[in-house]
Amino acid sequence: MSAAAASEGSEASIDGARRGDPEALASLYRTHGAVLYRLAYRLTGTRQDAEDVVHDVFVGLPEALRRYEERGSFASWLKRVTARVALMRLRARRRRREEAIDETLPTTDPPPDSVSVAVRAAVEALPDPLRAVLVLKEVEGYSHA
Amino acid sequence: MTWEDELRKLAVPEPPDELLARILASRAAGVRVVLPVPTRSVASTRTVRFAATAAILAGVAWLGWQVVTTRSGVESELPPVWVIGGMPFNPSTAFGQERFPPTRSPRYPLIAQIQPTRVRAGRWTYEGSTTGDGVFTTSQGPPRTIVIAAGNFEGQPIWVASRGSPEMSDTVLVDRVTLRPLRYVRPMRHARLVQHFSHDSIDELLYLGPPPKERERTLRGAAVLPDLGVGPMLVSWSPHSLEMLVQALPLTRAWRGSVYSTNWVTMATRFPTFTALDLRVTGSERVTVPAGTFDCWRLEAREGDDKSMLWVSRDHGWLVMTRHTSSDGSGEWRTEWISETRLVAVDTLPSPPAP
Repeated sequence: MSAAAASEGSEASIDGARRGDPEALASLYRTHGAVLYRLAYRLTGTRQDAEDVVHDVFVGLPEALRRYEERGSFASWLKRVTARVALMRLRARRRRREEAIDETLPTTDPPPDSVSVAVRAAVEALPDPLRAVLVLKEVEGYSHA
Repeated sequence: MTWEDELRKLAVPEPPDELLARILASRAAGVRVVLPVPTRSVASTRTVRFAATAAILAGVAWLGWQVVTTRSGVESELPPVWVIGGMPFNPSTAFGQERFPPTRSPRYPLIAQIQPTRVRAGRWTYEGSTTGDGVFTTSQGPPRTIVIAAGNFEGQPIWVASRGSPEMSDTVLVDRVTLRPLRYVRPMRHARLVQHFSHDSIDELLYLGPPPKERERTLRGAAVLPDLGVGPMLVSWSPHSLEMLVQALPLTRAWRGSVYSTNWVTMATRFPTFTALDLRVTGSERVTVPAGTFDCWRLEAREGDDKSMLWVSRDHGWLVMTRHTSSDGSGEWRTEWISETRLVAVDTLPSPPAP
């Protein structure tokens, strides 16, 4: 186990989750769940899809960890997996031509300023693939490679 | 502040409190998701890229040929890139990545004629494996044991069917004459599902108790059964009622029939509450599994667009083997996942008294 992996997920939690231990899986969720949810939300644009993405990632994590090569950052590996799941969901959504309904849901977020509104509107107006590129490049710091 | 900074600070919602409980409940219920894990090493990137390019070119050529020759003018969908690895006997809804459509009508007449006295108490042990894309095969964990025992519930004879494994255990009480469920209980680490069945409805309680304690909650749901209380009924997340039902089916070469299966009422936004399972005998085969060689009926089981094959021994009606092939539903495009379940041991208890 690399030092990076150990520091981000704790060796015990990763090993436990790999064995299917629910407590270990819950520990990883508490450490990484919110970050992955935000990434999924930025990519998919809806709460429901973000929930489904994070749900699927953590449901599949014990088996996926058996193929985790433990090189580099565990958090980065987890974000790459989440981004892939989210992008697949976007593709599936395009095929189904689903419409987001989040605009109709009540929100407790504070009212954004005009610049934020403009940026959000611009991002939401982007086609899914371009929004994904933008989010991954500018927010998550992915390279072009 | 640049627009990039504005972009990064855009408010995003927090995950809902119950999401972790849902994840753990799904795991405990046997749901599995195969994730697209990046595993390529740096040294092999060039080789993989070359191989991938060749494969893509070959695939594009093949797909183009297929479209030209067989599907010209027909809109098709790409297959899902990853699928859920199936657990033995779990319903096809457990394999679904997407929300399922509402309940579909059964293809065949609802099963009305059964031979409930053929059902025997016993203990059956199965092991499962999953093969993905023809590339790798993984075990589905330790063998699973299904126990069927005779009992009484509120004065009526019942079968008590339970499953035990290191990961989960659950119990269903089944009317011994009609083979309809009466109670279903699935304890999970931080949740508990309890379903009460009457002749025409189901009442469900889902207790979610993830730590800390203030996040505990109870979800309640009820639904009217779609089959008006006629004939047998299955509990989707419980394998036992299917195990029992096939023992009681009067299978012949041309036999076919449908039966409704109950999912989670409180998860109706993710799974349909009821699904119709369409069963049809498609032939007979001699099958060899670790437990021995059996002359079997080959039974096609369809749940929506998902199709499984069951091999049922002709003499006792035991479920010898199952195979599930996941599909995206468009017919032409199929995912290549296959789950196999094999009977590895049979330990039959003395026959119960006739009901």
